[in-house]
Amino acid sequence: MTTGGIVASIIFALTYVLIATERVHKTKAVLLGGVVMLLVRVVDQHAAFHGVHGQPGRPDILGIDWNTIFLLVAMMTIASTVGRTGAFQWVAIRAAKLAGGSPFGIIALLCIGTAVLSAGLDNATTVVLMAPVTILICEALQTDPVPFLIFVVLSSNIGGTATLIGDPPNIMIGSYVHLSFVDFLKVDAPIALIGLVALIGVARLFAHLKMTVSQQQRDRLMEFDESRAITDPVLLHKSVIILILTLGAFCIHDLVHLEPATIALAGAALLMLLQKGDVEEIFHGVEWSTIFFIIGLFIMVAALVDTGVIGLLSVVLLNFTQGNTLLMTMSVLVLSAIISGLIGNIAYVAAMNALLGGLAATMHPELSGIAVLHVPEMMPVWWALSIGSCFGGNATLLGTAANVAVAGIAERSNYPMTFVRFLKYGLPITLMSIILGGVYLWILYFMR
Amino acid sequence: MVARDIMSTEVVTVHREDPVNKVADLMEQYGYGAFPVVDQDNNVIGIIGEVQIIHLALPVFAEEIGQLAFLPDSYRFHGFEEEENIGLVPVAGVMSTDPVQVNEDEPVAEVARKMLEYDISSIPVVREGKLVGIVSRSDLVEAIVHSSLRDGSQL
Repeated sequence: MTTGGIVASIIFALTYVLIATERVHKTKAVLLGGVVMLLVRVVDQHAAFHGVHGQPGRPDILGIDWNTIFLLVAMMTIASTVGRTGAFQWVAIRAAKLAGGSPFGIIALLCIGTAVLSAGLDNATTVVLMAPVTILICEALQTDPVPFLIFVVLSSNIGGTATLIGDPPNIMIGSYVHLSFVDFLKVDAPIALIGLVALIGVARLFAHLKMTVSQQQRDRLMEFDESRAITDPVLLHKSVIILILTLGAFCIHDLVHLEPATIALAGAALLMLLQKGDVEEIFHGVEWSTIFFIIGLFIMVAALVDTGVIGLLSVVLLNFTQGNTLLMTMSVLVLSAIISGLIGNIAYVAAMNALLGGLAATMHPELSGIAVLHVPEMMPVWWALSIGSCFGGNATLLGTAANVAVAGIAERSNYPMTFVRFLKYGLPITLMSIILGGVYLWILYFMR
Repeated sequence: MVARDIMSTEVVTVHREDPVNKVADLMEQYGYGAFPVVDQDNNVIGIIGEVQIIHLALPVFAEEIGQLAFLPDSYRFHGFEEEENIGLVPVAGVMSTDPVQVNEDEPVAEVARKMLEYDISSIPVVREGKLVGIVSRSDLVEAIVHSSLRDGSQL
């Protein structure tokens, strides 16, 4: 390994240790790591910001992936606009009332509602708006809200698995590998549905064991009037129409040769135009700390690729798996779940995209560009990365931004959702969904 | 002209262990919307006003929902449900621990600016952290319209 490679690896490792220990906010940690890489010139700014493609003697570098960044910003803008209309509160209360106040019914319908919303809208935005209403519903039923909140956030991560735009790891993988919105619907949506059904099955066992609710408490819940939750019906209509148009356009983005970020930005720009709100206020709904977290990661990964560290690790990985696709798929699936739980799935996927891309390039030196990433034996591996990291985000409280956000709301509301309490639900459910994911991928790609 | 020149020196204060219902009684008695919270050495350690007491009644999650229009008329929110208990909550658990305050030698213009920026009705005045007075909106209004101010001296 070159000196640059060693320096880059050390900075990278220290940054990830900092993220895992939570001593410094993760966005601060990766921005620091990325900037240090630029300062000591293990990667030059142009390569880090714009990428390097098809230069002889230099590996392809993704750099800051603006498709990912703009797709996230645009979808967060749309989600936060929908959030301001009261739609999420409407869904939560409607779900609870439809369930007739039965605890299992409420969990099941809240999970379904959250999963559907999370598939089309940003997870963190969805749960931040669902969580407070969930607590209110639980208080009306005089029952502990923490398990409800945990199921809501677990279903959000599972629902987000279903689409290209559902969860940041999917956006990053889809953008890197050039997988279309429809590709995700074909492969990830069915397993997300299976995962959701399994999650509700677990909720059934749990609710059966632990919860009873009196008629009086149910009556109290039924008096909630969800129609009054919609604060801005005009904006709601506009944003629902634009969301449907945007999702529809995503389905044909491959056919019309438009990148997903272009479509999302078009939707976001149109929605911004159609609302009265101040621009600053609209942008307030964007999770800038997540955006800059991802930018910092892209810079660091660019350095690792440029210094040859990723190339070296790809060879090691190839020697370990001997190019056996089944072994690679299953180890990526399991590894993704474990590491996503430890450091969060975004940080994991940023590095893993490059590593698996390097692996494909090592296996197929004769190919270049997207063709390398699309070789048949890599396809199940990419889906294993997507399913593993999205489901793996459920393993611990630190797995996704949505988990952390809900824990914050619970804490401030005096219902602390501790790391261990989350783990009791998250870990077994992740284990279950990863096993389901493994069987699913095996049936899809390896069963003869 | 500085804060010292316009402040009232007779300040009604409360202590951290006082119950909230005592604060409510003082509000009714004096007609003030907020009181400085001081320790034994007269250091300002917080402020408690109507806003803080309303926050106490409305749980955090309710504030985070964004709106509560969907609640039925019959919904009893925290405060009303446990009326007796909530009055006994000590001031320490409710007060704002980062109160807006000014030094006695702070220009009156800055006192006025802070009052507008934070939308508060009165500001404790301190000398080396110890409470020496309070400036209310009416103190400011008086200072602004007082005739002696018109000729020469400025806020």
